Formats: sequence, C-alpha cells, structure tokens
Amino acid sequence: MENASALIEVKNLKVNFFLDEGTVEAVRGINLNIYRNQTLGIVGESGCGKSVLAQAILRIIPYPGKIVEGEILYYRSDDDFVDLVKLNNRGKEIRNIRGSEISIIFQEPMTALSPLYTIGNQIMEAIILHQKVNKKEARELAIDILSKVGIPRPDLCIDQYPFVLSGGLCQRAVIAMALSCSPNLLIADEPTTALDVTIQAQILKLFQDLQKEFNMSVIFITHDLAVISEMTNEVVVMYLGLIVEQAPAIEIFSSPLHPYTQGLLRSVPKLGIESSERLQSIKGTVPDPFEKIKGCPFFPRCPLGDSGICKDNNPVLNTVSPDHKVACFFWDKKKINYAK
Amino acid sequence: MIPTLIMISMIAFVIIQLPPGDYLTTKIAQLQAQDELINEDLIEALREQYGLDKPIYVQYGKWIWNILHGDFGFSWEWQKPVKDVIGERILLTAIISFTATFFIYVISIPVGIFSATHKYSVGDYIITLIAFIGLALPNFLLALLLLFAGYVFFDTSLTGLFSAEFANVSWSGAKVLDLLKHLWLPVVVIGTTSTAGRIRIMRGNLLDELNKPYVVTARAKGLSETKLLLKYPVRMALNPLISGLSVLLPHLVSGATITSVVLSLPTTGPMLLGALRSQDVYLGGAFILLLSTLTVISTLLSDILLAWADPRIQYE
Repeated sequence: MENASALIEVKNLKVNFFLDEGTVEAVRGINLNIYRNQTLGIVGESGCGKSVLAQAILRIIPYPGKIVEGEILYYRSDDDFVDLVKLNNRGKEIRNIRGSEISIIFQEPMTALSPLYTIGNQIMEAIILHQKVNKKEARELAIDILSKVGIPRPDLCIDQYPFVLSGGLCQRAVIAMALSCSPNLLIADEPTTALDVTIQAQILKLFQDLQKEFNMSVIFITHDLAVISEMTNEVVVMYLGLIVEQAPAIEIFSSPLHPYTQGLLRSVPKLGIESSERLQSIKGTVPDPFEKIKGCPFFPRCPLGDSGICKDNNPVLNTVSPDHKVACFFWDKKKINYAK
Repeated sequence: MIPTLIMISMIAFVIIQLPPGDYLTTKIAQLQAQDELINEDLIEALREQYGLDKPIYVQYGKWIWNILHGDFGFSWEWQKPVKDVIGERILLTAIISFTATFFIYVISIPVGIFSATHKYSVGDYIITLIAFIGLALPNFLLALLLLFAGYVFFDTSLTGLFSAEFANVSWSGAKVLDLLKHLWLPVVVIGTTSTAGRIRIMRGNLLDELNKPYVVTARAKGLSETKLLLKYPVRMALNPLISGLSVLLPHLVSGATITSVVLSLPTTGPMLLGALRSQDVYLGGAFILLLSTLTVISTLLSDILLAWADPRIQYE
C-alpha cells in the first residue's frame, strides 16, 4: 500500500465546534492517507469525529464547526494537488469538486432526498451541474446509473418521489446520485445503518461491485465492525477525535493492539463459538465533549491505564510493524493480555 | 364547496333574524323616538310588503331564489337595492384584501429568509424587533399613528381611499391612479400584523429546514448556496405559509373593519356592522354570503397551490 499513490493526504487536521457552552474539539490532529482504489474503513463510537472528518474533506462541516489547523491535500494526479482546507467553502472550486470528484452518501436515505422533487430531478441536477449535457442526455445518464445500482425499472423509477420508494431503493438512488459523475473518492457515512439487515447485505455487495467498476477510492465510515470486516482492506479506529489504531482489516481483527479496539471486538457477539462467556462492554462512557483532554483519551476507560504515564501524556500513533500503527504506551503488553 | 355555501347562507340568515324583533321594530322605535305617530295600518302594510309576516323558511327561500337570479333584495335602511349599495364596497374590499395579501407575502418571505440565513446577526435582531412590534401593535393604533404623522408632518389627511374630487365620480383611469395613491396606507395598516407574524413563521420554518440532511446532500452535490437555499429548504418552509393563505383572507376582511372605521374607508366592514345592528336582513345577508364565498374560494385556491407545491399531498 505504501507505494501506491495517494489520493487524499490529511495532515494534522483539527476541527473545533465553537458552541455557546464551550469549544468541542471534534477532530484533534489526524494524519491519514487515502490511496487510489483503496477502501478505507473508519470505525468508532458516535461522536468520535469520524463523520466530521468526512465532512471536512468535502468542506461541508456544519456551523459552528471550523477547521482550525491542518491540510487536506487532494491529488488529481501525482503532481497536481490542491489543499482543500485553503479553498473558500462556498467558492466555485470546491463546488466543482463536490459531487463530481468527491461525493458522499449519508446515513438516512429517506431524509437525504428532498420529498419535493423526484429522484430523477435530484440525480439529473448533479449530472447537469458537472457535465456538459442537456436535459435529455442527463435523463439518459440518470436512468443508466439507476440501473447500475440495481433499481428495477429505472425508466419508471426516475419519476418517482422519494417518499413512495422503500428505504433500500432510496439508498440505491442516493448511491446513484453520488456515482453519477464517476467520482475519484466516494465517502460512505454509515450508509447501511438505517436499513434492515437483508437490504444492508445487498447494498454492501453493490458497493463492492461498483468500486471495481468505477475504479474509485472509498471511505467507509461505520460503527459496525461486521460491515468493516466485509468491506475494507484498511481500517482506522478513531476515539475522541484521534486515530488510535490503523492496520489492514485482517490484522485489526486477528491481533488488535489498542485496548479500545480490543474492547470493541469483545463487545461484538460471535456466532458459532461455543462459550459461556458473557458479552463484554467497554466500561465507562465517552467523556464530556467540552472537557479538555490532556493525556491519553482512552485512559479513563482503559483496563491497562497507568496513572503514571497515560493520565498526562497522549501517546502518538506509532508504527509498530510495517502496516500497523497504534497509539498506546502499552501496546506490546496488551497483546499478551488479549491472547489469554 | 356548494353545500358549504348553502349552509353558510342558512346560518347567516337565521343568525341575523335571531335577535328579538325585526327591522320594523327597529324602525318603529326610531319613529317613536322622534315622536311621530305610528299608524298600525301602515306597519301592517310594510310588514306585508317586506314579507316579514311570512315564516322564516319562506323568507329564506324567497331570498335565495332571488339571489340565484341576480337579485340580492332590497336594503330597508338605505332604501335602495342591495346590489347598488354594496357593489363598489365589495370590489374595494377585495382590492384592499388582495393587495394586502400580496404585500404580506412579498415582504415576509424574503425578509424571513434573510432573517433565518443571518441568524443572530444585527440584521436579524433588527428584523425580529420590528416584527415583534408589528405583532404587538393593534391595527387601529397603527392607523391612528400614521394618520397623526401624516397630519403633523405632511399636513395631509390620509383617510379614505379617494381624494375628494374622485370620491363620487365613476371609474376612470385617473380614479384608479388616485386609488393606488391612497391604497398603500390601509394595506400597510391591515397587513403589518400578518407580515410580522409570517416573517417569524418563515424564519422559524427555514431554520428547522436549513440543517436537514437533504440540504447537506444538495450542498455535497456542488450546488451554489443561493440555488440550493431556494430549491430545497425555502420551498419546504413555504408550505405553512401557503396553507395559511386560506385563513388569511377572512382574517384580513374582518380585521379591517376597525381600521376602516378609523380610516373611514368605504369598505364592507362598517356597513356590515350597521346592517347587523338595524337587522337589515338582506343587506347583512348579502355581505356575509359574498364574503364567505370569497373565503371558500380562497381556501380552494390555497389547497390547489399547496398540492402543487408539495407532491406529498397529491399522493395522500
């Protein structure tokens, strides 16, 4: 992976939300590369900053959130790149990237589409905006993309309003909209969370097929580890605005190093393993978002936390093997612990 | 719609007749007050002439039958056919109400959008302040204030809808111009409260919609902010304003009565009030019937508009 060419380089990204009650540090210094044709999974609890990271890339962080530091380099080719952070978030340049080069799919398909316009209208809007086509050609393209995402009778479906379609069909329409201009990067922000399990499986399969077909990179954001294991080749685990562990999917599942990752894995029920062991949860809860964190963010909930070092020092993301990074002072000790 | 109108006409007719006595009792009382001799035969003759000796359903039936033939009956108080008494007043009331409606929406929608998209800015605070004053200020007080200001600062009388020389002449281009010159004051007075209310409604609705996922989706598509704003959240936020249209018109017509008295406007309000007090059945009934028809039509219009604006309604 290291020699593949990067598509997005996130460097020391920090995003704050300036609320009346105080400042929330949603993303607290993230370094991350997304390579071409890679599927990157981002896992973490609600509020860990994974969605904000995605919104930062598209520069659609909602008010009162702001990027306070860092760079997001977007490489159109190896030597043609642009720092997305520097662009005016209402300007023409970022608008030309949104929806055409980088697109995003949100969690709730039913609310992500406006009920006042047909899905055709909303898909064609993106096509007309970014491609030099007339209305009729845009309609052809929209029908074409709708059939690619597996919508039955796309020529009829295109004139339907979102509220007459099922959640699964709506999500397919949203995916079609995101893919309509063949983006280089597709960000899927919990795309299957709102769907039932059978539809979820279909949509995931669709993602895999489409990625091959469209030759794009995908960032797959989820809190569902099962989805990650199926979908991605590289996994990033986030906790409180920081990356705590990053490794290939297989390695994350076979030998997680960070106690938080281990906790996450232990809290997922497994089928077929005969065991009287109770499902474990990570003790404690995510701390108050307004609190300034000085040491390791996971320290208050960590089974291995050492008040000597962890309380006041934040561990950096260390490369412990060629493709495995972890941010923990005790990562080697815990490995033994987990095996037990 | 038709059954509604029939019901309204019946209720209106009955309610006007409901107080004890009839138009003749009022008239007799008036004559007695002027110490005139009352001739029993004359009263009987009048009663027969006006049809007041017949039972109420006969009176109603006769009334409706005549209306269907374009005859609204005879106003006892004015001693003229009702049609001649109310024709121009209904027209002027309709003109004022529709202009006020137009004024209300043309002002409140853009101002509401500005207020919502510039939340907590200086502009928003100023708009909010003015809107609350507008909501709190009764129409007649605003009318009096404007009249006073007009008199003190510009030395003109702002009452009425026409200048003296046009008041009693027939319609002409110059008269229409004169009407337009006078129209703004009653329109502002009648429209202010509703405009203020609608600014607040628009602001609140739009603020609810601005952060909805479909707006973010549209933004992620690469749409420009203005286009995005108008196509997605604004159109959604307009719904309550469109459905509010049906309530607005009767509200304006009835709310304008006091304003009309203060500004001495030749509209329906003051005359309806007089007709009800003297139990001038046919005049009052005609007013109520025509205004109700106006309301029913405006409700129908707003329903059609709403169905056009929101496809979800057509599917229900």
